[in-house]
Amino acid sequence: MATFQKERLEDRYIFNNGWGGLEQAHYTRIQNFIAQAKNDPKLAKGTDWFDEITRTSLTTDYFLSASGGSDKVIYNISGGYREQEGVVIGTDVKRLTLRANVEADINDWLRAGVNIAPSFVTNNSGNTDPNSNGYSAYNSVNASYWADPTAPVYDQFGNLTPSTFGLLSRQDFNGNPIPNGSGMYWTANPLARILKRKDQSKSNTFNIAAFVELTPIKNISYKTSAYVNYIDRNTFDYTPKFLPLDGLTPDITGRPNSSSSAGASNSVNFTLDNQLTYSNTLNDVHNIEATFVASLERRKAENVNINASNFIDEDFIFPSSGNSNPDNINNFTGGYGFDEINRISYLGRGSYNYDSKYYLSGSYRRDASSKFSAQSRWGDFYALSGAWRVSEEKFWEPLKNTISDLKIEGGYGITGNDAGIGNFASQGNINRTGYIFGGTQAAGYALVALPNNNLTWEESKEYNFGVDIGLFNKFSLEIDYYDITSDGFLGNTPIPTATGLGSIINNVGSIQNTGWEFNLTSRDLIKSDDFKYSFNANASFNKNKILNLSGDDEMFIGNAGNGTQFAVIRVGDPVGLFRGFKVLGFYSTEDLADPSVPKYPQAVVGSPKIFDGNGDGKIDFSQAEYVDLGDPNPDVTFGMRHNFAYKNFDLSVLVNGALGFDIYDQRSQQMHNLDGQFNVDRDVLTDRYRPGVPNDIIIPATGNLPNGAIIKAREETPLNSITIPTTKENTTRFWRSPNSYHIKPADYLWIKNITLGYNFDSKQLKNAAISAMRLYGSLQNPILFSKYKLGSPEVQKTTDNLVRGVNEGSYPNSVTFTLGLNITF
Amino acid sequence: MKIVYKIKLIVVAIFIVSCNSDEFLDIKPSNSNTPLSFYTSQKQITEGVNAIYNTNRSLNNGQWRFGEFRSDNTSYQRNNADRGGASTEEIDEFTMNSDNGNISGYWSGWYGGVLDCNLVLNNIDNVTFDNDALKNARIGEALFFRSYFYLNLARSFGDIPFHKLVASSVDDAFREEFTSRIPVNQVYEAILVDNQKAIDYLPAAWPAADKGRATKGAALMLQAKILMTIGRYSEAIPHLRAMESLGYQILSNYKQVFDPANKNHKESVFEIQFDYASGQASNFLGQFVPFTSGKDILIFTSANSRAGLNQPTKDIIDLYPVGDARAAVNIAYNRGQAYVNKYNYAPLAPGQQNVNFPMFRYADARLMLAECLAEGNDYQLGINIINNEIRPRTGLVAPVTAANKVEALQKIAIERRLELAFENHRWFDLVRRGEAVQVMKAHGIKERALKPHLTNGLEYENIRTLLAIPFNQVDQYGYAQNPGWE
Repeated sequence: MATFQKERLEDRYIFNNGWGGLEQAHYTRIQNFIAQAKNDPKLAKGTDWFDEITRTSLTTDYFLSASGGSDKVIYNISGGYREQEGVVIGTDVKRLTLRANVEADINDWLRAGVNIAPSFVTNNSGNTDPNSNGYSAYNSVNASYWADPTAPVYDQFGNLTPSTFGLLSRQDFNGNPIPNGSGMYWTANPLARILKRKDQSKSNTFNIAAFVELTPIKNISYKTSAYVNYIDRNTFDYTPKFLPLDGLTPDITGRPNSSSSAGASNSVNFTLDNQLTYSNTLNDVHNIEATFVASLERRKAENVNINASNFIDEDFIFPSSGNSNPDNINNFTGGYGFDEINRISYLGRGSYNYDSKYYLSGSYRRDASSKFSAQSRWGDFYALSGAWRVSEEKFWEPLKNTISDLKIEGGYGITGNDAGIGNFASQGNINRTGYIFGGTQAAGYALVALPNNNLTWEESKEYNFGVDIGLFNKFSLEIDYYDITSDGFLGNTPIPTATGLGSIINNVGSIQNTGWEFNLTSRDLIKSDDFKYSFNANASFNKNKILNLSGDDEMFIGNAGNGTQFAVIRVGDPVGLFRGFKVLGFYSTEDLADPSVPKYPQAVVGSPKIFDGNGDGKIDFSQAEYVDLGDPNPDVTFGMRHNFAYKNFDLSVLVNGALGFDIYDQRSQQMHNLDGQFNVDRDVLTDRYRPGVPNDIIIPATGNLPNGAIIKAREETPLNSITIPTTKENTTRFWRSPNSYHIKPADYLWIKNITLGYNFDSKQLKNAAISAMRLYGSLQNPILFSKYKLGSPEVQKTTDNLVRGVNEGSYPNSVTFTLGLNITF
Repeated sequence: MKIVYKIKLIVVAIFIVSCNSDEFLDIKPSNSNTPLSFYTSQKQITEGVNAIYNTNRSLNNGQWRFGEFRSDNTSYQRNNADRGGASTEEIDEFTMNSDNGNISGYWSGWYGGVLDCNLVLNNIDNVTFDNDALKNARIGEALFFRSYFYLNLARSFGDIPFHKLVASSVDDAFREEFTSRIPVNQVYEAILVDNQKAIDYLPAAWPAADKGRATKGAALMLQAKILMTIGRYSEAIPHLRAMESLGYQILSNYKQVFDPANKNHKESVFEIQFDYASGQASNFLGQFVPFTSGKDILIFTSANSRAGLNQPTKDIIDLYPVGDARAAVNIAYNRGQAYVNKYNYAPLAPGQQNVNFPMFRYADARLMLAECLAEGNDYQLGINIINNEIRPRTGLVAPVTAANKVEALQKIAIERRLELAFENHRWFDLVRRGEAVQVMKAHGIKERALKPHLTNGLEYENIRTLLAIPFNQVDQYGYAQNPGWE
């Protein structure tokens, strides 16, 4: 990932002529810089911002466990400590975990156990990831891709500079920053942004579980178990005046005010299960089990936070009411809130099998969730399944050596889901606002979300059918087919904005997922005294389709700015198809002369040629031109694990992959943009539009790229031969909008893990205290094969389940090398 | 075996406890107000009304885009290096597409205000108030605003969905009232009836603690604005005359009208309230300063690269006669670039000013009266209003004269431009007078000459007096589109 930015300094000059072109003073400045850089290799290399914020980091991990017991009591105690440095400087996690587990048979009808597992985590994060609102160009990782490479990280005194303002950034004739004029954008120095800010959190977690199990009568058992998860969390963050504001071309002398905030929260999740089970085997062949469960769950989280800015004493950085300028109530704010969800479930389940040949089971459950109103909170769900182990039949005997095991199974069931919406979302929302009457503040409340009393459980109706096959006593193959229809998935249905609102919380529609899953596992395929080999491989083929939607038959999702959306949910189509302008290439001189070629008024030779989506013969900068551009849903995902063993050595290799899907890369709008305001990806060198080089062109011209330039090879390009084109513009916005260039096929094969271990045998372990010892080394994420070059193809946007396959830039993936030693006493 | 049964009994007891609790599932959020329980008391209705003022404030913060920026009064300062504001510049150039985000924001914003009003109006009947006068006043406030919001929708979009409803479900949100447009004349008729009720219900003045609320005077002035929009000038006159006995007065100093040290003065008919210390600061300067002004005007921060919007045109700068004191109040210059100066009171913190906004003021009412009188052939009475009421504080001594009705109406229109510049009336005045296309085409020729970057020949050509119904709404809900936007 870090490689593309190196050695781009000179390349950069080629593109550095945004609108209006370079002023003469700017040329002179750059030429002087080049002359200096020739004698100074460090200067010539420029600042590799990504390299500056990343490091080779070290993680240490200790884990100790002891277990034992008698036939009445068993125990297990363990403790671990992990100190992990992030690959981004300034980020780290420290984690202490403890666990104690005891289970005891108190007498022949009473059994009890308790498990206590506290953990203590301290986290420093550098605000490196995009926020929940989506893509941000300013967070440290994203900014490090596009910031000016001539800007220094440190000033002459060795102090961090506040911003990425450099020689190529916009300057006036005296070298002072101006937000207007030719040159690159700047933002806060990504390294300073990490090191000068504080972004800390501490959380203490206690997991406590206990159970009592009675067997008062033969074949009947009764179990009560309780589980508590308690999390206590403190956060603190601080941003000094020193750092420029988030944004493009901020004041390089810093922000107007320092600010800090502190928060404390705790959450308690409590679950109580009561389970009554009858199980029996009659006449040695009738295996019966019946269970009844009643459970309740309560989750409540409370939080308090305070925020301060405009400090009176800048050295006192913690929020404190006396230390914020009192002239404005917004200088010191705070609040309290809570969130809560409660659920109740009753479940009855029965299963029967005859001689491990014929299986039948069924279940029925009633669930209630506080997320829904009294009239619709109870859901009834049931499931039925059956199986036949054919290979247990007498007639199969002759086949047993080839097909050692054969089981056919199938079922139908409905499950309920209340996830994906806020805990109180069905009740709508009234927000506190305020106004001024008579010069003083008055409270006001405005409705911001309508309630929906009919909101209820999303129901997943699943048919499945499967075959388990054992072959030659060496392979086992599982084949499954499923057809799952999720009716009434939870989300927001858009409504006409003439209502005053944009959407209503709702059971939005139905999605069908159908697919096949294959899983092939081998036992030791090769098994000599010294060498063993086995593998496991799986593949799943999934297709999804929107069956129906409430409201209109399509809805747009995924914010792309200016009220546009880059993805669509449409009846009959897969979930979250990408949409946007389709870039056909670039306009040629002939295209511009030909009135039958649809174009926009600002088009020049070399600017992006857009497909006329609405067929009106011209190109508008409008969603009316948008067409479907790609599918984020893979046709197939697969994985493999290979295990080798030779004498005392063992080796395992884990591979994952996916085929037939696309990723929408939000960063591409900057990193493949020729408007001269961002540093660019290396691909731009070879792929950008330039006159007379028609063969390898992928990236069309936007803005004022040097399309009048004669660029033979970059080494020979004299800077002053670049002809500044006329001030045509308004073409770059097609590039900054969702378009087909930013949507990339992302098929990949990723070697995720290679582990090599050595097991010391007892002969080698002369020390009697040690019973076993294993030394191993592993590589995590070592090799990725993919046409997708801009990061991990395994992008997952979590804020909205329907918006898929979007890369917004995130914490960099790292290759991890682990060395470990396991000792058993 | 005795113990066994005892334990079993305890366990069964737990079982029963866990089963029996619908209470367990009825929980409320920490902001305990939900739409299901709100608007049920005098206090809550009042808070609901207060929220309308807040909504109106944010809508008026953006009103310059369509009230002023589209007209010949203002344009933009072009930033060659940051084209991110291009979609806003298209408002000025009349090159917008129907999916311009400014249009959809304008549409949904006013309807958001309508919703605030409907929630109050549809619930207030079931709420008992301490006294009927107060209850009526609350109804009056909500009706005043709903009429004002619909006026803005009607004069911007023409035929529109008109409703007094709160959608209750997805199906309900697709009912005809929300998804089809009714003729604009029906909208005007309906809001004239509603706002007449506001006139009847609103007090002429509020106690000091309620300063800033809508008054009878504001509703009278709104009624006149609606009537003038549909050309019923003579009917507007009694409403404007009725304001004369309500104690309004034109201040003797023009600058004082906008000065934050002088909030809610006698010329103010409806003033949008801001207060820095309460955390409700205004920020007119942020967008209106030249983007080249650095920290000159904003003091704490540098001008944003997308500022320089709503900049006075050469047209209006040249219009001010020499010696007109209003020119320097309304327009100032920074590094050679003209900008709107009338709200330029120094920020007290980054991006925070303490300046109120004059939504309705008495000078506007007087010029409206002048226009209505002139339309009724009493044109000399109209000219007299300019000379006797508007001009005395301007420093201009030569009296305005008109030889006939047409000339008088022209002079009144010019005086409105001079007096009310950058108060977001000009575009609606142009459309109301039927002059928008002609004036803006002529203005466009001048603007193109001043803007060498405009080489497409499309700017200031397609002068559409109605905005598009937002693209997304047409696309998804099938509204008929306005002419020129298909």
